[in-house]
Amino acid sequence: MRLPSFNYLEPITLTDALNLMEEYHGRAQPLAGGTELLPRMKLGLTHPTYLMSLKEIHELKGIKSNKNELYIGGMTSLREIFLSTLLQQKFLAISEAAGSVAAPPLRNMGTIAGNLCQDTRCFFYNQSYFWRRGLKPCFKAGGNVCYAVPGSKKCFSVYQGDLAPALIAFNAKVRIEKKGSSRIIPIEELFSGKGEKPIVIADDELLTQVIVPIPEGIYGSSYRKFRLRNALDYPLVSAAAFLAIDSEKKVKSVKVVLGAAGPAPVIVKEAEDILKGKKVEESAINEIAEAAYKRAQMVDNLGLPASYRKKMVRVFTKRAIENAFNSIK
Amino acid sequence: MKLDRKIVEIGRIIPRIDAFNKVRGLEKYASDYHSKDMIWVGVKRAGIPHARLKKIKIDKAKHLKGVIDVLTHKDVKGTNRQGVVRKDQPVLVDDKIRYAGDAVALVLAKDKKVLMHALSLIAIDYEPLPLIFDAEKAINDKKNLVHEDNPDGNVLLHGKIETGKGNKAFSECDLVVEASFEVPYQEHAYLETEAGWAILDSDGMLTITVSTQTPFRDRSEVAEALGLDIKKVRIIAPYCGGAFGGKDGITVQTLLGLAALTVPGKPVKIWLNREESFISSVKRHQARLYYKLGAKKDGKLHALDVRFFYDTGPYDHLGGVVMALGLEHSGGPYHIPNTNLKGWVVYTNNPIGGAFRAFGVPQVTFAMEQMVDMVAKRLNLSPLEIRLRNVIKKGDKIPIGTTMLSSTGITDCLNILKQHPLWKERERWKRDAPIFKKRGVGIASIMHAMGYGPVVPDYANAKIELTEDGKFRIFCGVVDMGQGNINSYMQIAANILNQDIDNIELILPDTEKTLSSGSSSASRTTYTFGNALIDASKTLKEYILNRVADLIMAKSIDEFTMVPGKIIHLPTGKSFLLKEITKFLNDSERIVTKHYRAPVSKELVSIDERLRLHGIPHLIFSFVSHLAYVEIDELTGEVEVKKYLSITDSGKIINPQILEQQIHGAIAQGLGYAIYEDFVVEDGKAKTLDFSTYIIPTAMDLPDIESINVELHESSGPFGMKGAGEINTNGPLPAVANGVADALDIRIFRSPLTGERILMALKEKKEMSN
Repeated sequence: MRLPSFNYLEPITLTDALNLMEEYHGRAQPLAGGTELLPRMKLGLTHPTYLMSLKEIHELKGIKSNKNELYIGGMTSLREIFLSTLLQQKFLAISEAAGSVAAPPLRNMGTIAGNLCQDTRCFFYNQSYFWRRGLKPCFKAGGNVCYAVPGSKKCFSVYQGDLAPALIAFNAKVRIEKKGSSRIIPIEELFSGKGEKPIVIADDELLTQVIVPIPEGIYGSSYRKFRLRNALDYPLVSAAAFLAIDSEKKVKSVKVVLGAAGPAPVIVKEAEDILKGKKVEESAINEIAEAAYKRAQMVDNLGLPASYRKKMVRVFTKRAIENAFNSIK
Repeated sequence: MKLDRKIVEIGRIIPRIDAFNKVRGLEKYASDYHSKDMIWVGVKRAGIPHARLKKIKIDKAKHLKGVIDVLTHKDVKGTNRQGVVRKDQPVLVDDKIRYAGDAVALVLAKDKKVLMHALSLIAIDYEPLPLIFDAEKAINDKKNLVHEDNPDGNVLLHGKIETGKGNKAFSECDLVVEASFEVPYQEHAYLETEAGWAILDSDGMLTITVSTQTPFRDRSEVAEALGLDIKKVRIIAPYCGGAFGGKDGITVQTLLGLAALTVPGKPVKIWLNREESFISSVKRHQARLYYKLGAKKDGKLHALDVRFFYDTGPYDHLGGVVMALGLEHSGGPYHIPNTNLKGWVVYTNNPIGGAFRAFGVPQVTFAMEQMVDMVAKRLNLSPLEIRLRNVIKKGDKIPIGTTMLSSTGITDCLNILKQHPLWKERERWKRDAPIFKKRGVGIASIMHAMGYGPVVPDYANAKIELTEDGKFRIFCGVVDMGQGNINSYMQIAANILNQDIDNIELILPDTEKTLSSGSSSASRTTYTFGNALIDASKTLKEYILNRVADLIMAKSIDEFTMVPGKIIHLPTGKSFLLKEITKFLNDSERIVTKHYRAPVSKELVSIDERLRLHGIPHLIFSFVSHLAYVEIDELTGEVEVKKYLSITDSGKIINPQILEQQIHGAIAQGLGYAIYEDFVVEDGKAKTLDFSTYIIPTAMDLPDIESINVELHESSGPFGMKGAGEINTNGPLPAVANGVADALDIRIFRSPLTGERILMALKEKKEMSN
C-alpha cells in the first residue's frame, strides 16, 4: 500500500503545464488535490511515470464572476466552493455538493477539476493488489471479464463524483486547454458513458475552468446525497435539481440530474416535459421520480444492493426537487 | 512544605500520560519496529474453508531470488498447536484446512515485493471436504466434522442450567412471549493490525515484540508450540494500537518465533494488511438465539427458556468461555425464579469466533432486552416500569441461580434514568418528528461480570521500586491496549506515595522485567492489578519510612509524612530527599512485589464443573441503564441515533476522564454493531474485507453521548471501583432496537438495523395491513 515511485513535475504557470503535457506526450499525469489519484496509485490501479502537480499554478485557483457567468478555477478547493457565500446564495446545489464530498481534510485538498475527472468505481475494481491477485483483469483493468455482472460484455463501474450532477443542473461548462488551443464544452460532454474510460479528455489536455451561467429570475436548487455514513462515503445515489419559476409560480425551467446511477451523470430529460409551464405539485414530482427510477442503471457493485439503491433514486429525486423548490426565496 | 504542588487524588482527572506521545506519533508500537537488515515474513493463507491437505508446493517460491526460506508444518519442532483453552489450532496446517484464514506456509523474504510474489507461487494440493457453516445444524452432524478428535463432534461446549421449576413454570405464567434472533460477526477493526518483530540472539534467547493483550500466556504458547524452553522465550508488549479482545491470545507470535528461529541473529517482521487481518482474525461470535419469556399479570418475570448457538468457527480460541459468559447473562439483570438456559458453541468452517469486548454478552442482551419490552407491551407497562419491577437487588438470585453479592446499582441506574429530562420529555420529542421521520425511544438495562470466574485464578503481581534517583517505578504486568489502565496504576501509586505523576516511572509489560498478571481482558485490569499495586505501594512506603525512622532514631513512622520527592519528619520539620534515602535501602527494601487474587463465588449449586472451568459463575458485576433517541427515515429506512444516555454503576471512580472515554468508546462500538457492522461470510469466505464494505461509524455518525455514574462503593475493589471496560458495549443494539420498535411498532429480530432491513420490514407491515 505504499505509493510507487514516480517523477515529479511542478510547473508554476499554466503555460508551463501545457508545455510539459505536450513535451511528455501525454505521460504527465496531472495531480490536483491527489485525494483520488494517490489512493489509486497505492492500490496499484494506475502507474503514472510522471506526476505533474498543479498546486503552484495560482491562476487556476479562485472563484470570479461577472454579470452573466461564474468562473471557478479548476484548482479551487472543494472547501472554498462549499464556503463561498456567492455559491451558497446563488448556486446552492453546487455548494451542497462540494460540502458533501468525503470529509473536511479531503475537501481542503480536493479540487473541482479533480472531482469532475474522478474515475468510475466498482467494488470489484477498487481493490488492493492483495484482493485482486489471482483474478483475471476486468474490463476496467484492461481485461475482458466483469465480476459485477458475470458474462457481460462491458464495464458497469459507476460515476460517483458529487459535483458533476449539481453543475450539470446549472448547465455549466468546462474549459479544456492544451498547448496552443482551448475549447469549452457542456459538462455532460465530458463523460463518455463507458465505464472502461469514463472521462473524455485527451492525454495532453487539462480541465482548467468551470463556467456556470448565472440563471435569471426566480430559481432554486438542491443536491441530495444518499450514503451510509455522514462522512467519507461516495454517493450511493444522488440527485441534483434546478428549478426556475415565473411570478405565478409556474415552472420556467427544470433540470434533474442523477449521480451514482451509471457510468456518467444521468440527466432526467423527462423533467422538462413534465413540469414546464406547470405548478410544482406532488404528482408531477412523483412522475419525474419515476422517470429517474427508469433511467438509473444499477448493478450490485457498490455498498448496497442495486435493488435498494434503485428504490432510493425515487426518494432522492423527490427530495432534491422539493428542496430546490423550498430554497426559492 | 510546598503546598503548590499538585497531589494526585483519586477521583480526579489525571490527563493520560500516554496521550501526548501517541498523538505526536512518538509512541513506538509493535508495528513501528524497523531496521535495514530485517526480514519480512508473510503467511500463505489457505483461501479455502475446508479440505484435507495433501501437498504444499513450495519449490517455486523457495527458488525465487530474494526469498530466504519457505517454511511449512514440517519445520515446526513443537506440538504445532495453539489455543487458550483447547489447543486445537495449528501454527501451520498439517492435516486439515479448517477455514479460509488458516496459515499453510511461511515465507521469509528480503523485501515485501518479493514476499508477495513468493506467496503467490505457493500452491496447495488438497481434497475438498463438505462445508460446515450453520452452527445449529452442525451440532447433529456426525459425519462432517471440523475436528475428528473432538469427543462431542462439532460441539465445542454445551452448557445448561436449570433453576426453580424450569420450563414447568410457564404453565403458571399469565403471558408468554416467544421470539428468535440472529446477530452477525463483528470485526474488532483495531487501528493497528496484527504485527510483531522477533529476533533470536546468540544466547538462544527468542525475543518477540508484539501487539498483544497476553504476553505471559503467549510465552507459554510459543514455547510449547515450537518446542522451546520457556526460559528461552521473551515477549515484550508495547501499547497496543487497539485490540478489544482480538489480541487476547496468539495472532502472529508463533509465526514470528518460527521465522526468527530460521534466521538466527536477524530481526524478522510480520505486519498483516487489513484484508489478511479481516480474513484470519477472530470476531465476535455470530449467533442464533431462541427465547421464551413468561410473566405474571403484575409484570413479574416468572419463567425464561433460552437456547442459543454461537458459531466459533474452526478453533476454540476462547469460544467456550464466551458461550459460558453469554449463558450467565442470558437472562439479563433480572430476578427470574424459573429458568431453563441452554447454550451451544459450535465448530464450523466460518471465521474464528473469539474474544471481543463484552465477550458473548451483546448477543444475549439483544434478545433479552427486546423480550422484556415485548412482555411490557403486552402488559401495557412502560419499558422502564417493567425493568424497575424485576431488576435484581443485592442478595437476589440471578437467572443462573447464584446470588448477587457485589454492590448492585441497577435500580439506581434506572431511577436516575426515570428522573432524567431525556426520559421525561420523550413523548414530546417523539411528537416533534419532522415530515417522513418517525421517532422512538428505547432503553436497556444490563449487568456485566468482571474477572475470570471461579476456577482460573484471577491474579496480578505488582512490582514497584524506589529508584536510585528517588523516583518510583511501576512494573506493569498487564497490557494497556488503549483503555488507560496504566495511567490509573500511576494515579494509584502516586496517591498512596503522595507523589506527583512526574515522580512515577513505568515499565511496560515484558516477560523478563515485569511479573505475570494475567490478560488485559474481562474488565479486570484496574481491579486486579490495582489491588496488588495498592498493597505493594503501601508496603514500599512503610519500608521507606521505617528505614528513615531507624536512621534518625524517631519513635515511630507516624512522625513522618511523604511528600513529592521527600519525607518530612513532622516534629522537627526536617526533610529527607528520597534520592538520598534510597542510598540507605537495600534492593530487597527498595523493590516490593505483591500478589493479589480476586475473590470468587463460593456457590456450587446449579453450575456444573465444565461450566465452572469455563468461568462461571462470577462474583462481581457492574450495571448500566441505557437510553437511545432514534429517528427513522420512513423512505430510506435509515436509523439515526440522535441522543444517547448511559448511566453506569462501576463502583467508585479513579479517573473520571478515563471512565468517560471507556463509556463513549464502548457505546460507539456498540452503535456500530447496532446499525452498521455486518461481517458477511458466504460459503466460508469473508466478503467484507475492507472499510468500504465493512462499515464502521465515523464521528459524524455518532450522537451526543451523556454519561452519568452511580458511584456505589464496591468493598473489594481498589478505592471502591469495579470493572467498566466492557459493559457499555452491550447496550446500544437492544436500546436502538427497542427505539425502532417504539417508533414503528416493528420488531427487528436480526441485526444490524440497516436502512434496507427496516425499509423491508416497513413494507411487509404495510402489505400485511392492506
